[in-house]
Amino acid sequence: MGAGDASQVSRGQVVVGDLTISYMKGGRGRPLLYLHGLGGWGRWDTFHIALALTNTVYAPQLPGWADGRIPSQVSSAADYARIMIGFLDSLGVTEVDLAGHSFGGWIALRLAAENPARVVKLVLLDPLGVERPGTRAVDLEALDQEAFLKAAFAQTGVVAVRRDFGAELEDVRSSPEFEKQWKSREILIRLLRGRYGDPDLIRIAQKVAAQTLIVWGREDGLAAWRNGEALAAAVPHATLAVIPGAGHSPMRERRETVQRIVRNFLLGVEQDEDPELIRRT
Amino acid sequence: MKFYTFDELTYPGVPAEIGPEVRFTNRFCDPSLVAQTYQEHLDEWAICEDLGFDGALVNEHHFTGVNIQPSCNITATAIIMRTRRMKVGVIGNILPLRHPVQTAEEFAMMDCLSGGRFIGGIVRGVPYEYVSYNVDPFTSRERLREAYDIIDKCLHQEVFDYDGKYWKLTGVSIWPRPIQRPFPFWMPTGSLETIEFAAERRISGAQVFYPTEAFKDSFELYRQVARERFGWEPGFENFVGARLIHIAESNAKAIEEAREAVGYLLRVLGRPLTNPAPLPGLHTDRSFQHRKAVERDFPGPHTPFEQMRDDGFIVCGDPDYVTRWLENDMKTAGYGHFLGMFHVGNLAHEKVMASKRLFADRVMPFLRPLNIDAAPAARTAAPAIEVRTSGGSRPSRLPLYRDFNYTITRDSPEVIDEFATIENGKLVAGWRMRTPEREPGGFPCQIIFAGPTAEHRGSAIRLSLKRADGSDLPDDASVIIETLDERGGDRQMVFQGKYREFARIPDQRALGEAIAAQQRAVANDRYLIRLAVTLEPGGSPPDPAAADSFFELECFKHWVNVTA
Repeated sequence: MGAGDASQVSRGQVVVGDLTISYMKGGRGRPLLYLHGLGGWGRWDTFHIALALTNTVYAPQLPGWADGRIPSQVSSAADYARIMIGFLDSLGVTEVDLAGHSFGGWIALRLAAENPARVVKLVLLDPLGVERPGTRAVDLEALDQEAFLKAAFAQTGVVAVRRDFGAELEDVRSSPEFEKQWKSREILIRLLRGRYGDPDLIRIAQKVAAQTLIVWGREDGLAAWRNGEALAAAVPHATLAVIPGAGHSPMRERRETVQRIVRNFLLGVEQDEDPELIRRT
Repeated sequence: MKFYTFDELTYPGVPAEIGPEVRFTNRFCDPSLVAQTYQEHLDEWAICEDLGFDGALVNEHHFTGVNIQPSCNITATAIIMRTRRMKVGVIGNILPLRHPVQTAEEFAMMDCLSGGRFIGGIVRGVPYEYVSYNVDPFTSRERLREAYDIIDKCLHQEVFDYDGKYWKLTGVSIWPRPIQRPFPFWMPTGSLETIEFAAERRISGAQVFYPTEAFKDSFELYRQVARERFGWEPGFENFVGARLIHIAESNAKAIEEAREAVGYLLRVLGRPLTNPAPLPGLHTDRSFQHRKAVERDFPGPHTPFEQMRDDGFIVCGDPDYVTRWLENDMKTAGYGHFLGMFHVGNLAHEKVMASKRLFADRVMPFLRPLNIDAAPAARTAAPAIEVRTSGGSRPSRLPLYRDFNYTITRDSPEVIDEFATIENGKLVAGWRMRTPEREPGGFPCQIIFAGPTAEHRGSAIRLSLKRADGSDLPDDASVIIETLDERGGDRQMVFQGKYREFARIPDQRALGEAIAAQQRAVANDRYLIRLAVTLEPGGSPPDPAAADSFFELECFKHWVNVTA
């Protein structure tokens, strides 16, 4: 698969029940459903291209995320998981690779646990919702902007973001990415109404049949990487990669490293990154 | 310090008013303007020889007005034909997107065309090239590694096979082969992975566009990697610094002229046809960790011209300013080759020519003494081809003929029979063979035993003949191998000697140990081949049918007219 295929994106809409779902599609190969998280939806980004080099990527916008008006029939990640099954059905896609980030990771986990026959490979990037015994998920409502910034990003000052030619300076605090995540936080607060954790998640994770890669930013303050350890212990065929120097969005903060780990997992080839990064369970 | 002109060859006619919503396709390319631009650049390259430059280099890109040399080997050839003395090079060919054998062939051609003045360069290419060629960028380093490996073998080995992931080749032996050995290679070495690649292979490292400190970081890392990991010490001549440059009589004039040209360059550079987001896979997170200040390495859309000038993205000013700026750059970064990119963007031809003249007259002479290696630099690798010297007191033993494609043994279809008779009162035993009239394909066939040449001592012959009681033959038994036209006439001796020559070798099949054919012999179709051992009567008779009796005749089986 080449960069040409992976860079081309088409946009479409499907109707699932009484919901209209917008999605982006690109790449070639086995279908992969990518569920966005706090970073939201809209742009065919570097990470989409990386996934589209190995798969046909379907990247839907979660209903309600466009304007923050949550549909009445949705009040949990499990509801979204059911809607996403409907989304796949309406596309005529039966078996998929599934990747989800943040809240999308929570949905992906539920989807894979409840529909084990439909998911071939599962990639979870810093999924929200996991609660280890004796711990509580982070209360998003309790975080002011400053606390949220520090919890979501490993580096909060001015960072150099590499472009195709050279690098561009970006102040994380005033970046569009931070603005999007802060807005998504509002949506999640309204949706979840205090239920930021799902005590059942670890238990149902045992039903996941897919080969699973769990990627976690070591500095993630919205969902601790220790949750990844617990999750990796629960999911039957899981590999955990903890990424130093990355927060809640490791595919942004350690872009190339995460792309390679995910790609190698999807291709089924040996991981060639720093061996300390990868823990197998 | 050595000085070169280096040229992107930017198309000068892109209109200013194309907005980002417009696809930047070749409808904006006027071929007649391209023709004129080529001629101007050829003049700008050729004049460098008269001005005392050491060379001219070009590079290639695709699908862009920034560089209208999708094959820079063609422009390099044009420069070669207009120069006699100075080096001509490419930096370089985009290896992951080219066939490596053709690349090597063109390098060798340019080396011969120029009389050994060529510098080979290799690059990995830029993101939009991977998009339009539809190549997976995650494979680019593997492809580069493999392609370079093949090119290196093409240029330094007589013949080779290659079994790679991307290329599988058989019997490659390029014509012409190059004059220069070892063949000089340059490549841009920005990322850690590329520095490691280049240092291991002693490919000179080049830096372009970045500030002095970034050059220094890269070259220092290269030195460290070469020293600590690959055990050699690079000299100045292993490092190449390339910069946009413009010189005029005054700083103000130079800045005024360059400002617009740089603006044009950046405007055209920022126009890839299809590239929605930074392309993944070309770098890793460790690629640039050695850079201490990555944020100032390449101008963004809002970088002020003054900062570009300070950082050396473009060196521009009067001759004094440029001399002082470059002196500091060269001394700090430590490179021995300077590539001046004089034709900045859409700068007018006459301004480029004037700038080059000022550089040659008033900058070059002052910088010439800088960064010259005290001793011949360590780059010179051992010649890849072993040089054999004849004579001297050491006995030299040539290898056996290696290119045989067939071995006749007791079990081969060529064997007619074994024989053991008495001729003229002596025991004669051995095997008779016959070249087949026609192979199944209907083609006549020859069996050729290679005789000694300057490169080998001939086809291998292995022989062991036992007596019927299992005992050995006497050492002074004689051995004859010959070919005979069964219609009479032609008779050629392949080997004539004593049996002891075979008997004294402990293992005739050990590498290089066998006896060799003494002269070339050709057995055409319907020829007999006879291997006969003659000894005095007495004792148990020789028995070619004995289990331990064997022979092997390595040869070249040649089907005539196979390619007709």
